[in-house]
Amino acid sequence: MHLGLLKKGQKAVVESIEGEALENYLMRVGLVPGDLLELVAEAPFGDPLAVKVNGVKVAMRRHDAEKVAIQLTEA
Amino acid sequence: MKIALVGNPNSGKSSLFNALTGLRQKVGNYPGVTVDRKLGQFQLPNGTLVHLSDLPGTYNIYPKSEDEAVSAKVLMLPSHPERPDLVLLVADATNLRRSVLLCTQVMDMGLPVVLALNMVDLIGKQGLEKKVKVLMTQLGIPVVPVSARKGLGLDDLLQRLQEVPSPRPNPFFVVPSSFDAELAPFLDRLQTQNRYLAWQASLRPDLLDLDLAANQNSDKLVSNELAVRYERIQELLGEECLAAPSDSEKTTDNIDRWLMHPFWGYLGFAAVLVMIFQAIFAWSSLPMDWIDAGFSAAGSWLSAVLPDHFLTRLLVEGIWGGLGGIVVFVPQIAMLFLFISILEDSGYMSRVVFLMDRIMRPFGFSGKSVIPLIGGMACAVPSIMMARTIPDKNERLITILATPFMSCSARIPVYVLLISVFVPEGSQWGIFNLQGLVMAAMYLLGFAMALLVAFVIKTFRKPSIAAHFVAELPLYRLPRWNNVGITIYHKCRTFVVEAGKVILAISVVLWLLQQAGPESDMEAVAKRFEPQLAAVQQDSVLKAQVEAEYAGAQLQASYAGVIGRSIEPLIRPLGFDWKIGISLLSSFAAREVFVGTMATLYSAGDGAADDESGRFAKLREKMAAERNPTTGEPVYTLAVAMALLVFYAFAMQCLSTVAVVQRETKSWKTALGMLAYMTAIAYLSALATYHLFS
Repeated sequence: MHLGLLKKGQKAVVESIEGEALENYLMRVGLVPGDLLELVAEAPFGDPLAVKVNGVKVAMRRHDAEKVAIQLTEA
Repeated sequence: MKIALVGNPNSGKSSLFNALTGLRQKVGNYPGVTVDRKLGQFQLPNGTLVHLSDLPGTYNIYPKSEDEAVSAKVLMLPSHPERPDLVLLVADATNLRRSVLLCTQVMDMGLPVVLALNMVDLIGKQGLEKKVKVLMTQLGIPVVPVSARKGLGLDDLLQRLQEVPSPRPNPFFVVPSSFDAELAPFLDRLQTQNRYLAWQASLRPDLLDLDLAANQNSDKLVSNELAVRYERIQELLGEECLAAPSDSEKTTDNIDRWLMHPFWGYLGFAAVLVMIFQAIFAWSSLPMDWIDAGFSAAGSWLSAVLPDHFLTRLLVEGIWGGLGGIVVFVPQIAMLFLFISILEDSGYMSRVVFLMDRIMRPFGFSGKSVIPLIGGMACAVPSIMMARTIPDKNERLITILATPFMSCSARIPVYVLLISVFVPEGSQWGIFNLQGLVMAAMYLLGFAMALLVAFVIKTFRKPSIAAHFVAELPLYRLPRWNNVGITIYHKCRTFVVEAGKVILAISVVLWLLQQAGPESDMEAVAKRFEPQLAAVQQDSVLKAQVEAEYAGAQLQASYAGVIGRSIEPLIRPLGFDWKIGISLLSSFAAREVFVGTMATLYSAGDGAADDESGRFAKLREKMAAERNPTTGEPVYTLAVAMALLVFYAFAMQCLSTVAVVQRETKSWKTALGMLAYMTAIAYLSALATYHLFS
């Protein structure tokens, strides 16, 4: 499952990030594989979307979010 | 002593810089790049003078933007002239993990570091002492809790900066020995023993202009390094120390529920936009009138006290007048940046980016293009500089090239003149004022052309799909008024200096072109008017009338008149005569000059100079009465007026903008190309408009 499929309010653990450049971008702002994140907002058409991870809110475009593999946590 | 401020974006670095240096700061530019360089000074308690540089905010030492590259270079290159003696690392207490990551990188580079734990007012007293203690022992550096916004802890910080701590002997991240062979040439080239520095250089040799090949998979290696560091930080500091506080986060979440909402969020943004327009157009008009009146009063005074001489007129009409034309825009620019810096400082701006990104993208813009485009309605010059924050190169270029199509305030006087002459005052469908409708249409026209041009440029300068857009949405904070004030001051100063040089130079050249002309023609004009002028010396009303006619005749005979007439065949198809030609020519310095030139040409000038509206009415009257000498038809038909309006909407009649585009894109080709195609678009659209209405 990838981050693009997460619904607002759902939480998930980041498993891996496809593409080294994107992985780099996300790790810089503090989104690291193994972290717990929550989808907190979506702009119209679901793009961009915003997640909260370690208390930081990060916005990204949908096509990037689809490269982030996640594991849904039990609610 | 040289100290560099290093920290993540939104860590409160600029607040600390302002708190430490006050107004003893300068904003310049780093050579070769369009990145603000902020330098300041302050004194330590022991009397040492500190040169503080505020390095651009950076998440880590591997840059992803021009801004971050500047910070990386200053810290990486052992021989860099700005290499600091000490790094003051600003850590966001509400987001420690990321700040500490940068801190460990800087420490591993062998630089002495003092950590300022900022925003401690947000995390509460409990746990703070423990946090500071854990950080001090685990990182092995001085840690000072501060709140730059509230001015807390600054004295303590100054005390700590007096002693330069020794660099930490064992690095947080040990470069694997399997890379020794790769590192050797870099160690040699940088003349350093520090393996981590060589490692960084091997990953990004481009930064240091080294002609050595980069390590392969450098992105992967960087990610690995970051992962190792994050893990190490977790081990060292522990969960409790890293935990983010939740109070201010809750407030932000509650606000975002509205401001990022798919419906209310846009409504909120629309309200903000309306307020910005109100500020730029309504609230700034009073100070603009004062400046206008002040400049003309001072000008009249100067010409009264100084001897009647060519140099006096050059000073009063050429230089002083040109200066007034620049300063008059300062209130609008101040208003624009008042709002922009409040929006940025409060954290709202990144929400705007979030809301607008998807909507702007089909046109080749990014969410960050919204602000330059809005700013373009005040003035394109500072707005184009704001496009610096757009990370993708092509999205930035598209924003820069589209912004000048937005109807800037210099176009307003031209629109007002033409609309008031040609559009009847009646109302449409009983509600809308017809003149107001046409004015609104002009704004829409400019915006539509901005979108169209962006769309066209996008087809061959495609924003790269690989460009990642990852933006942090920081916590909401109340804006810091001294930061807002300092931003406004710097932006206005930049505008006056940068745009001012160009406008002033051109207005002097144009003034000279209007004064001098082929000798025989100028003499003929003088011969005709001097006796008349002498005859009416006693009668002030008649004298003013003759003087105005004299000035008009002089302008016709001048070089500006000669050029205006010589371009007439070129503009004839648009329905423009040579008088409009002269006015077009003179508005190359600044569009609003059009009105003044027309007034001189139609001798509507000085006669009623005390009364602005009287002068304006007279010009309108004369323009409406103007007949073509051969056909007897009115010169200013509806078709001509519409063509002129369209021409002014699209033409690049602002050399300051051309200059700023050149500076921001580092390309004369781009700047001159823009001048060429904007002129072409203006010409062809005016041609089409003329035929449509005639």
